[in-house]
Amino acid sequence: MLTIQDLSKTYADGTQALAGLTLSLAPGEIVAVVGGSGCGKTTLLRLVAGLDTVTTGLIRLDGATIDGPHPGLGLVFQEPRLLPWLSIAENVGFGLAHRPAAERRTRVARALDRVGLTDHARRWPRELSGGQQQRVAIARAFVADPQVLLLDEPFSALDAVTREDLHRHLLALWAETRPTIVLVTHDVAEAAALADRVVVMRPHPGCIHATIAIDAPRSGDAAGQLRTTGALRALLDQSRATVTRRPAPAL
Amino acid sequence: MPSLAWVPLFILWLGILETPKVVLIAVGVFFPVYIGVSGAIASVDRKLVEVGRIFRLSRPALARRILLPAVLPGTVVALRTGLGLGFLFVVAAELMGASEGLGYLLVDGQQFGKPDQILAAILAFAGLGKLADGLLVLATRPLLRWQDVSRGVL
Repeated sequence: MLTIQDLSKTYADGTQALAGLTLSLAPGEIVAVVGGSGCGKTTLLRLVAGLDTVTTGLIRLDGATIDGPHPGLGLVFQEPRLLPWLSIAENVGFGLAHRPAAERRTRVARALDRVGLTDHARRWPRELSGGQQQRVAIARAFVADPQVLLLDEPFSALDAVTREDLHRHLLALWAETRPTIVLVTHDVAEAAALADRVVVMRPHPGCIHATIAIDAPRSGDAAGQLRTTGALRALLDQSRATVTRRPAPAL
Repeated sequence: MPSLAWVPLFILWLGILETPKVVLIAVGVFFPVYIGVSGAIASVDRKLVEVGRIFRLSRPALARRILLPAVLPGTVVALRTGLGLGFLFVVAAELMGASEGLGYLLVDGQQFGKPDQILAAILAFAGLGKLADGLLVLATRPLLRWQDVSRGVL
């Protein structure tokens, strides 16, 4: 159970990226976070992942306060960020260095199989396409068995066909261990297709504008998904209209 | 400070034997190599360091598993530059005061009008330099196979 209470983040230059954000996530839930640029969704993810420090507010995972990187939390970045000097298999096993070698090998093999890259295990990252590299990054995050997996627009750099392919791979990995997933995306159709719940954020300062619960998540109901996508787009437009702008600094 | 400026002082203090030559090369080569390596460290991609942080690597582990491999290409370049500079300093040291060595042969050839000797010494330097550089490249190539560069094409 991941709880975020009254989270705020103000940067050193005075920009308030997040203001009073409160959110709870149940185990195994897939929550999508959508919003235009500047709404603080990446900041939110980085705070939960422990990469940046909170200004005020609390993040708790099963009661334990999160104030830095935590073994229960995994993160997939927008770029694959594979280590270029390690093979694909070594990259996937990167977070398992402290486990016995045999266990590491098994887990890596299984994760690679789930994302369909078993044949590429000994290749260098530079030999793989962007979509393949992102699959490796997702496998790397899953193999460490996190309770919560955070994904920061992981498919935004990929074409539509590859994106749908990766949706399948993500869900295949998720179905095994059922971690909670927080998926930040600017693609509302992706949110409608994958999530149990969609949180719409608005900027200036970053906060939650609205939340939509999906009736039949991931059911493949195209019409239903289209309706949800439409509703989300309407909410996004609405969120932009209600933005309260800070007064321009005096010159 | 040009490292060659140290040569007269070293010869004065340490004589014209092997010690001053070695010291000179060490002093002269240190700074460019140091700059090259610290430049490489400063430009390690923050994105890769964050991967290490997400997996909660300790600082020594971060240095060993991410920093070190990341700065290796830059370090090899710095070492090759240092190697070239090292040969330069050998020549400088022996030009300014030596009674043997290839540099001495250069000066001796000049003083006694032996251009063939000069050329022979130059060729020997070139050969040794190429050999040393080649050995360095050979030794470090397996460590850099992963690089995403267009070495073959260019």
